[in-house]
Amino acid sequence: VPEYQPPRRQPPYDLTPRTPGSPAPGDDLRYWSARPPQPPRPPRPERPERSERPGRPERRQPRRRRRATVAARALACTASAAIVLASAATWAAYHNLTSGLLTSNAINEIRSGEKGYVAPHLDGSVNLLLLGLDSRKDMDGNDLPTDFVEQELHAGSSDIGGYNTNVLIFLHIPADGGRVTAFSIARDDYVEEPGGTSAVGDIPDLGMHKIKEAYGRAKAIAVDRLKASGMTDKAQIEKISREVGRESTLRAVQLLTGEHVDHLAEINLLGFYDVAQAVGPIEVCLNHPVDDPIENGAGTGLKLPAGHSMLDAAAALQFVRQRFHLLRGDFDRNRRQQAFLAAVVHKLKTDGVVGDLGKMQALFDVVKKDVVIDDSWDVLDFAARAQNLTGGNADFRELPITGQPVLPDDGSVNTVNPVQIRQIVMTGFGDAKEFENEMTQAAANAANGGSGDSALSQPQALGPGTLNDPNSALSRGGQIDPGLPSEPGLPAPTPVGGALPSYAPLPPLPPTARDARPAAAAPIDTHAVVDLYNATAHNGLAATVGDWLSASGWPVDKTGGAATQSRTTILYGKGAAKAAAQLAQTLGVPAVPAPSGRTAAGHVLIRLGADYTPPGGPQPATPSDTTGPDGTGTADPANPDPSAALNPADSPGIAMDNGITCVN
Amino acid sequence: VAAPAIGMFFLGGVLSAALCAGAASLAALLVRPSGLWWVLPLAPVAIWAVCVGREVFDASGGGSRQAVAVAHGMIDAFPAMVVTLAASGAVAVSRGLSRRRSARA
Repeated sequence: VPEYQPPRRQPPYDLTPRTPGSPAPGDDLRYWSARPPQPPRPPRPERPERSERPGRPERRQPRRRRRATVAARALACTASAAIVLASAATWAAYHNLTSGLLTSNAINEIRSGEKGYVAPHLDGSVNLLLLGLDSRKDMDGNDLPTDFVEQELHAGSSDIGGYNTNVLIFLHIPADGGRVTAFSIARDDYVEEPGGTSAVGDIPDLGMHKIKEAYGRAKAIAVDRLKASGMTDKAQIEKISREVGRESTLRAVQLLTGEHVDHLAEINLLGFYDVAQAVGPIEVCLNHPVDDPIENGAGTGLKLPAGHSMLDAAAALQFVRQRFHLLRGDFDRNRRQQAFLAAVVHKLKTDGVVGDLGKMQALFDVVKKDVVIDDSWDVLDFAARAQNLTGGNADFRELPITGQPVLPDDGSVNTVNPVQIRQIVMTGFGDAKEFENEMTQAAANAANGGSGDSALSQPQALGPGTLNDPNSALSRGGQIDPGLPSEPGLPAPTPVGGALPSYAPLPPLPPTARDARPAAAAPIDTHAVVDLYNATAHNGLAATVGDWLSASGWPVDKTGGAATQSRTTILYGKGAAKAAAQLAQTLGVPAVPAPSGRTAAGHVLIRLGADYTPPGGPQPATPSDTTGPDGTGTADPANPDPSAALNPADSPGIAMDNGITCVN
Repeated sequence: VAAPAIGMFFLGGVLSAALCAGAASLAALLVRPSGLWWVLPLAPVAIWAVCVGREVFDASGGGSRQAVAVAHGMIDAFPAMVVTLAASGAVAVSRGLSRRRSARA
């Protein structure tokens, strides 16, 4: 076998001339290339330094391109990993925060066309209903331990309380971060409680009752039906029946106020106690010392001095539950609840909890056990909106009542003027135009023989019957029983003025609702409401003038006292210029826009100064008059209208600017 | 970017995530092997950008509202990102396996 010889290649130094494109003799043809031989390259000039190169972009070499590609890939991968990890962390934190929350679908269960249904608004604002349940049971319907209820909650026996919604606070948080408005709905307001569809079938109309009872009455119907259907699981019965109770309360509130409830939060005694414990000591302020001993199972046992006090969870519960030994009873209690809520929000803000997911987590771990929120509640969004509540940009108000008769089936109730309530709430929530449209629609429907399905076309649909309503139980005079206590074991409530006929007359309803005339006939601008403050040394002037303005058709929201001033002033908020001008003409005082935006939109703020003189036309009673509203001459000069002293709308709203507000 | 945008504005929820995953998988199938380096990491980024951008665009108000909007966008985007990453990653792995098999054959 011959030894293998590798082919000999043309040596590079072989410069034998040859025809271009032809192999040289002796070449191995296997390695011959058709490529013509290249002339020798001239020596390459030395590459200048990077700093000396001309402006023409450098031609990147493949290695550099590869490096750039690798770097770009690494960057993309790193960015992607960072984004995915950050999203995962946010997602996990949010689900950790919200998982386990007790939720309710009651808001969505109220169907269009049902009485009490109000269409949601689309402006991005939020209406939130805070619902405090006076139940001594846990979420499964089991009684709380008696020792705990009596010793820690100071709430008497587990047998009492039932399912009354003793706290109803309706908040409006504007979309643009504007002023938050909140109304307390008195638990004894005598309103219509409409029925509707539910998980246990149709709930019938419950009729006229205290608004606090809507929950329990509907729940009782649901429990009966569930038990009749053979359901034995106590926790399941409790869960479903509570949902029915919430729906009933929502219908009643929406029917009364004309506003859609976007979100709800329900808390019971135990939940309040736990949350108060989690938040820590809360500072409150009292105008007077308080001593509320427990007697016959009633009372809270609260004993506090006047001025500022720090409350632990148990004392906080006593503070918001006390209603005896208070000048205005339930209405002072409402004020306390508002002040407490303001104090809690103030503390959460100063502790940096609001808006901090980490700190909110600890609070939510407590909230999850006892607080029910609606299932569309966006915790993050609310955390952002809650900044409005803490920014000194919120105020709490109460809704006016028209009397406090005692009824045989319902005990002591608060009668209300439903049109006035609806007007005040809708105006406060920025829906004055919608209110006017409803009135116009109601008038049109009434003019057409009552056709149409507007809730306002029928007086009953407005909510509670009134003293002007001949079909109302209130008007069937023989049923009034001043001696009937509202709850077993509790002292009988004192009706304002003693008996129904002596109540101050209701302010006239807007012409559209009363006489079925178009709203355009009304000369008064109903877009705005009036806040009236007495800045004189004469007691009762604000209430007197307020009554007169109400009788003239003006929606008076608040009356109360203010620091004395010599001149009467009229300030108005956004959208209230026309009403302010009309009032200025009526009172003979110039109206000016509020300089700092402190006056809420749609509000006219009147401060009656020492120079105030009653204008012509219908004369209000002056402070020096001794003639009462009924002309009998029995009024106290210091307080011409006794009912005004008890009227919840008679004291200024709680402003959250100070954080801590002193209350009775 | 188009897939999450279409999904976000016209479909939402599960359908949006499915559309994103489908689009990313298709891209992972069609690109050259070196292109996978771009498809895989950038698909979640595109979803994130669309979700967060939409929330921030919709949000009005100050810094806290914007921060909440970013958080909302991330929370909304995360499930779609995971599904998309898993689907396109599965396509890339299967491509690699099939190439190895064919190389061996």
